[in-house]
Amino acid sequence: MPPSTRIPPLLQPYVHLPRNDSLLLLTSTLGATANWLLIRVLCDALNNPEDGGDGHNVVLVSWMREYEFWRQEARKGAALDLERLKKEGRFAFVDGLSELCLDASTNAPATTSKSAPQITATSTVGGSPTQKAPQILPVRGPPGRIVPARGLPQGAAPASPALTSTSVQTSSTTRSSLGHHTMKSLDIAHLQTTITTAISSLTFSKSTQRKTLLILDNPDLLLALNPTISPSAMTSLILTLHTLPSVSHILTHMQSDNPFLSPSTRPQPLETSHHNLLVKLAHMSSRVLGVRVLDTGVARDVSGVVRVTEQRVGWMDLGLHEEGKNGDRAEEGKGREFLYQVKGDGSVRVFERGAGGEG
Amino acid sequence: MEATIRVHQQFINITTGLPKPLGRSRKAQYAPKPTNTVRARDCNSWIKKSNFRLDGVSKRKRKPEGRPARNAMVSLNHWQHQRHHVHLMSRVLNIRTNASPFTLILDDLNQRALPFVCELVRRGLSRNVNVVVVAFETTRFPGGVRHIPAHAASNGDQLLLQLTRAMDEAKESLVIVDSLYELLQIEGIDMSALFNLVAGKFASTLVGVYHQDMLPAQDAQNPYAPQTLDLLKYLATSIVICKSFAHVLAAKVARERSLAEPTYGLLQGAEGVVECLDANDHRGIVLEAEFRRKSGRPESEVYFLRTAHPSDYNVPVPGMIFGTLKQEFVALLEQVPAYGNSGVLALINLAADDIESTFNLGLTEKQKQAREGVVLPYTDAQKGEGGEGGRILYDMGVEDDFDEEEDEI
Repeated sequence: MPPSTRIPPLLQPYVHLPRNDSLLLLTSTLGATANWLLIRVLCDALNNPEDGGDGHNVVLVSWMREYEFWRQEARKGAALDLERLKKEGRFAFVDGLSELCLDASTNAPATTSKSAPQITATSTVGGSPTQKAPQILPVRGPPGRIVPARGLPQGAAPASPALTSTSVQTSSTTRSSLGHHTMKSLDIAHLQTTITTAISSLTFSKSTQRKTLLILDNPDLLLALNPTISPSAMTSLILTLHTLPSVSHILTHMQSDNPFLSPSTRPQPLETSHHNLLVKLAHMSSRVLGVRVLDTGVARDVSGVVRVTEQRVGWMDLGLHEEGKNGDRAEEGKGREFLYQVKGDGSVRVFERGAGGEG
Repeated sequence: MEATIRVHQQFINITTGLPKPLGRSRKAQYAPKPTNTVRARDCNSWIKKSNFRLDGVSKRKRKPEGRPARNAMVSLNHWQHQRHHVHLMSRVLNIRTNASPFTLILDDLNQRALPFVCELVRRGLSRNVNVVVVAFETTRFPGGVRHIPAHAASNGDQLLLQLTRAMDEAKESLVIVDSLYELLQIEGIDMSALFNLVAGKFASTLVGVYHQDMLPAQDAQNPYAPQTLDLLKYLATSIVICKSFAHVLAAKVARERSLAEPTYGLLQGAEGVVECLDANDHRGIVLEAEFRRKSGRPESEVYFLRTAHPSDYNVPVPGMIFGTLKQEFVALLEQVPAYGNSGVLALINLAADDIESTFNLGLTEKQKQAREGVVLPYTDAQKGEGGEGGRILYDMGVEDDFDEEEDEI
């Protein structure tokens, strides 16, 4: 299969979903984004023909990026056609960004919110100048950066609300059937129903045994957007979604920058709740993948370090492993660390420490 | 003297150095026994008969511990000391009556409590104890374990009601709360009410896990109230702190060399590091335990619980999920060979051999090959006409660019 070449062989066993139903955690820092790793997980889950099943369905919920970004990254990095997968009913996207954050600024017209629908549903809106599009496109940048509403020329301002309203209508009528869902409120109940509809839209279309992988991209943003959401409510939501029979794995992507790991001496409430959410999810997860920058500084041929640690004792088997596998356990017991380099064309090279060089 | 040694040989398995199982009554231990060290798979007193009865269960009452009078003056010798402490931990692990009504387990991301909790659950199930998990962190459980999805519970009364229902069918239960922090976040929960229900009314065992790396929320209304963790420690009858075996070894090596003990995980302060590489050691788990006697006297010891294998358990009798334990395998940390002198000394020597530098002085296979391939000047000079009089031998690498001015000397 061509996708297997997209996943670096060293990372393959860790990108592959565990056999047991479980929660996974992926952390990243400001300097080292983990989007490439998310794409690799997507790639592995959407097509792996071995071990009985035929891969997983995937629901991607993103509070940090728009659909357009993920579509391009998936095409570039893993040669995945998300549009086709949406039509096949194997992939669904829940947009937590454009309705919640980008429309919120009433003063400055929301330039970015209309960009995503504009490009995918090209025929409906053709009013705005087309040379604006590449400028507005979400580019790779540090996570946490929400594209600020640039000051449009005043003439464009009255036109844009009309445009967004039409695009919202089209998304609610035509696109939701194709696996595109949008969140319209910060309420946790609304969150749950939206994600549940997204999940059920996939499972109803297929009668096979295929389970669903749910990817939550940066749900920690919600803690900041809505202070009434507590970390407990957040993990409760995740567990409630995990109790759905069709959901087998939930991968959560969160930030693990220093302020969240070791808060200041008089921590602010947001720091505390973010820290607690991160720690709690790490306790719940059977595998933690962490992406960070090189400890020794910036290097030209290394983008960062990826660390994999696993908790092998789980509730399902109560920690009793067969002794026949003793040979590889000494090797697997410890966590692993690799260096990686993301290249300009979206491909990724993963290698062990000291085994870099050119090749 | 000889007589005492013979007595010790009865209780200590010579090959493993571990005490024999202590499930028999005290009288039986002192009687000379055949050397049958392994517990039968369906021993009568061990598996609780008729624990589950749907019609009107007669609840067990908590009675004051009827301990035989001890000659307390006698100071314990080394073997007796070890046996006594292993026995204490074994009682807690095997969910013996009155061993510890409320066990508090403190863990963090460097070593999670799951290996210890799973051992408790296994042994509970093997003794036909009703295992109830108040689940805040997991949704999937094996058969035989009742679980209450407490993450969805809205208030404390509802939770206690569910718990009562889950415990009602059995005479003796083991209740495990997998995150006490989350439990205390629930509105209207009262820790003492829970304790009274489980340990008092049902005379069962309560085990709670508290993650030490969770930050306590600030209480704006009641700033002078004690922290919840302190309250829990006050309430607990046993406290077990979980540590990774690798970290304990590293700390010992550092102590022997009079260095500062290393820190791990979140304490390390490295950006983006959530879990350290040797967290959750697969060899086993180190438990720092404190048992509190009725008198209030604490007894502390450090234990090592190795990873369990299926061969540690008997084949289950029909109708049971797990077989009984063959032989107790929890041991004091000082009994573990890898922690004993020889193992640690090897590590110390290894650490001393390492030259301290910021460079990695090792060579990878690829680097070795590249090094082999270099032609040194004198080997070049030995062949043919003996070199070309000062010609610089250099092969251009990929990253080199030719600099004309430099060679114009």
